[in-house]
Formats: sequence, structure tokens, C-alpha cells
Amino acid sequence: MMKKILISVIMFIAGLFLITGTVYSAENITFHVSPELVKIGIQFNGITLHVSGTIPSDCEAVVRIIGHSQNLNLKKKGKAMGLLWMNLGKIEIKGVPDIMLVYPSKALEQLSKNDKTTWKKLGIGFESLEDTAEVLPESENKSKIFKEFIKLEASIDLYASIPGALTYGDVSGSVKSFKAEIKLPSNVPHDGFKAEVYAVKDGKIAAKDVKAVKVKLIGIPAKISSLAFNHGTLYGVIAVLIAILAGIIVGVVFKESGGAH
Amino acid sequence: MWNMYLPIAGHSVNILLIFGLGGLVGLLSGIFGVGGGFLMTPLLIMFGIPPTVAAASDSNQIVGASTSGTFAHYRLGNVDFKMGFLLLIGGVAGGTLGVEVIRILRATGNADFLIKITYVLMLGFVGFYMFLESLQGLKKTKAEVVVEEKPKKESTYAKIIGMLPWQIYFDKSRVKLSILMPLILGVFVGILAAIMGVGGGFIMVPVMVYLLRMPMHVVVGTSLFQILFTCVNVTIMQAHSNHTVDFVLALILLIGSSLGAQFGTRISKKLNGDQLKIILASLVLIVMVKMLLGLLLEPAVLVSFVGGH
Repeated sequence: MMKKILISVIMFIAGLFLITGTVYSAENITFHVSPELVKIGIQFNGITLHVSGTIPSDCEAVVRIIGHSQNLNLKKKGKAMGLLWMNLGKIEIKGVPDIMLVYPSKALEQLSKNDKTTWKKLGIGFESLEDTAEVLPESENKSKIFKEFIKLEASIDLYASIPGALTYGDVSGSVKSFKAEIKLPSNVPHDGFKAEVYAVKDGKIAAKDVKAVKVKLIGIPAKISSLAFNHGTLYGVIAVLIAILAGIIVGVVFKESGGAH
Repeated sequence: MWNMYLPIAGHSVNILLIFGLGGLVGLLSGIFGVGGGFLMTPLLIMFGIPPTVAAASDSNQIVGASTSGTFAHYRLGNVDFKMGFLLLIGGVAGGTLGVEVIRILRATGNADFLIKITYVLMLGFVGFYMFLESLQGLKKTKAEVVVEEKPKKESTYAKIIGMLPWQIYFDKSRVKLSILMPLILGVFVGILAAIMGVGGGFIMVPVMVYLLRMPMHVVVGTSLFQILFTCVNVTIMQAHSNHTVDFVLALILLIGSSLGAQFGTRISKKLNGDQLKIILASLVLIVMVKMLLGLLLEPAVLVSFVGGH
């Protein structure tokens, strides 16, 4: 009797799986980020972040770099008196990340173009930010302002969606490997960010995993930054004195070389 | 290899590019006695430096460039310290007043509109006037070298400034003026500079030439001397309150601009006053046209970060 019940339960569960599809969790994604600590020294000029790992073979991958949430004050440009373009007041955008780089697989890149509604529902791309962010004052045309905001961030390389940079490798059993080379710009925020990997199946997120990446100033940039933020006045005076000294040195050098006379 | 990370701007830049930019602006500074902020700040923003950092670091580099320029002009006997100090006192008072004016204007909402219009009108007026005046001067020196020496009729303006009290003689500038003149004009330039958010060189130079009647070469040296003090003040204030001075950026710029200023001073020496004025007038007009186009053409992005002009 017990055996029959057990078989029925197993069959019921198996049936459920067949109806709803396979259920995945973060454990179905394995990935590695290199480096996990981005060091910014005097010669830092951006860095390539290597993200690689495996996702279930029946899923599509998206790698996303996302920074801390911030509130931004912006100036809005518009036409004054129907003729002159200029700043027409300030707006505030709340709850947007300070960096956002999206690396979708080819199939998902196609989806983002062909089925914008499903792509937006996934909540991975810039489009989905519009729903969670707040634009003040509320009387503003949120959608229009948001589009301009994305353009502004893209112009300084902090928001980007890069097609074709995520590639797949071997399929082994139920998993397939992927890798993405992420170009971090030199103006990457100093307070770190998250590297996220999404496994997408049938227009839904099947699994997601996250790793934190730290950013640290080292060497001369660290010393200058610490002086500027902790002892602002002293830093200003030193900056002025060195500037004056440099000006005098150049002047003297030119005098000695017989320059100005 | 030629890249360097700027810790305050939070951005890496090509050293040669920034050095070249500094050199170019320093050259103009040495020739004309202007700070060059009107050129440098927008160019830095174009290279990805945040607007607030670009403006503050530019002030820092102008300290170096104007030291070098003042030094070179001082050796040529082109700095009127007496006049410079009086203008400076007026300028500081005017600047403080101007900051208050702009605060009131911002509260009423139309500040940016007024600033831009003031800019275009001032630059247009000054540029055209200088251009025409120096063009006439150039023609005159070519055609009427022999027939000069007519007794000049004293203008109403000259009569009025002649009646002001506390007249003193300024040796270097070879003019006799009331000390009220540089003080009042300093206040006027200070107010305009604060409203327009610039160092004031562009307004100060024409004021010295036309209203204080100083010789062009002394104007350049004295203007640089004054700009030095203004920018020392701005740099320290910005470093203290806003932490926006990027010293690494300023240092690269100032090495370029100090060298440029030295070459500029040599070029300035070779040109006569009218030639200098006509080139400066052309530059002023180019900047004016660029600003006007900026007002008339639709920008690529309709929002911008707070801090730029």
C-alpha cells in the first residue's frame, strides 16, 4: 500500500515538472568574475572584466554590471520663447544605478528588438528602469526625460548595452558554458558594483546569481583623493602653491635660456 | 602608456592631449592677457571631465599660467601693480555682489536665460567695437603716418573722469586718473564675471583699454596679474567647499599652459597694439557666434549634469 502511495506522489511531482517546466535556482548558475577587486592606480585606463561560467543548456544568458542606486539632479534643456535652446529648470531622477552595462546573448539581443514587451518584463534592460525610477517634479514627461537620461549616461560610457560580446562554449550534459569580456570605463564608480548573471527561458528569468566586485583607489590617486576630501582647504592651498611654483620655474627657465628679453 | 588617471575627475585622460590643450590656451593667455577659461572648460567637458571638476581645475591651472605670464610681462615692464590692486579690490567686492545677484535671479527662475543673453550681447558688443576700432587704427598707421598731430578734442567722457576727486598718476600706464575709476570699474567687471561665471579677462581687457585708457601691452600684463589673484581665490574656495579641484589634471594643463604663456608673451611683443586687439576681437566674435549657435540649434541630449555653463 505504502509503495503505491509513494509511486503516486513521485508521479504527481514528475507531472508537475512536466506541466510547469524545469525549475532552476541560483545553484544552476556557476560563474566566476576576474578580477574581483578593481584597483585604480595612476595609470588606470579602464579594465576588461572577464565573466565566465555555466547556465542550464536550455536557457539564454545575460550578464549585467549594475552599480549602487543614486539620485541625480539634472538640468533640462528646452526652447525659450520658441527660439532659444537653454536650461529650463532642474529635474531629479531617483533610484537609478550609477553604472549599468548589459551583455545579452545573441538570441536575447534579438528578443530585445523584436519583442520589446517581453524584454521589458524581464527587468534586465534600461527600459525596465523607467518603471522603478522616479522623475521629479511629477509634472514632467517621465518617458521623454528618461530616454534623454539614458542618452546622457551612454555619452559618458556608464550605461551601455553591448550585443555580441557574450558567447557560448561547450555544452556538457545539462549545462552550457558562456563567457563575456566586459569593458569597464575609466570612470567606473569608486564604490563598487555587482556582476549579475541571468538564465532566461521562454521569456522568463529561470535563475539569477550575483557576485560583488570591489573598486579601490591605490597609490597616488588614493593619496590625492584622501587629501582632497578630508582636508579640502589644505589641498586647495597646496594646489595653488604648486601652480605658482610651476609658473615661476617656467618663467625662470625661459629667462635663463635667454627667452623673453 | 600616455594615459593618466585623474582621481577627482574619476576619469583617465591622454596626457599629450591635455598637455597640448594647456599649451594652446596658455599661448592665447600670454598673447592677450585673458585667462582662457571660456575655451578650456568646454573643451575639458568634451573630453569627459565632469563640468564642476573642469571649471575648478581650470582655475587651478590658470594660477600657474598667469604666474608665468605675469612674471614674463613684469620683466618687460608691462605690469601696473597700482592699477592692478585697485581693480582687484573692486573686482572682489563686485564678485561678492554678483554672487548675490545671481542667487536672486535664480530664485526668480530665469537666471540661465539672462546669463546667456548677457554673454552673447556683451561678447558681440565688445568684439565688434574692438574689431572696428583696431581696424581703423591699422589703416591709420599705414596711411597717415606723416599727417597726424592734430590737436585732439577732449571728449565728454575724458572731461567727466577728469573732474573726479583723488586723481593720481599711474606711471606704468602713463595715465592720470581718480582712484575711484579702477575701483568702480573693478566692481562692474566683478559683478558681470560672477553672473557670467567666468574669470573676467574678456571684459577686463576692453575696460582697461577703452575706459581706463591704458596702453595695450600694460593691459595684458596687468590683467594677468589680476587674474592670478582671482583664480587663487576660486581654487581654494572650490577645494574647500566642493572638492572639485583635480590637481593632477591642473598640473598637466599648467605645465602646458605655462610654456604656452611664455611663447605667447614673445608673440605679443612682436605684434603692435592694434594687431593684438583685432586678433582678440576676432576670437571674442568666434566665441559669441559659437554661443549663439548653441542657443539656436537643438542639443543632442536634452538633459545635462548640474555644474556646467
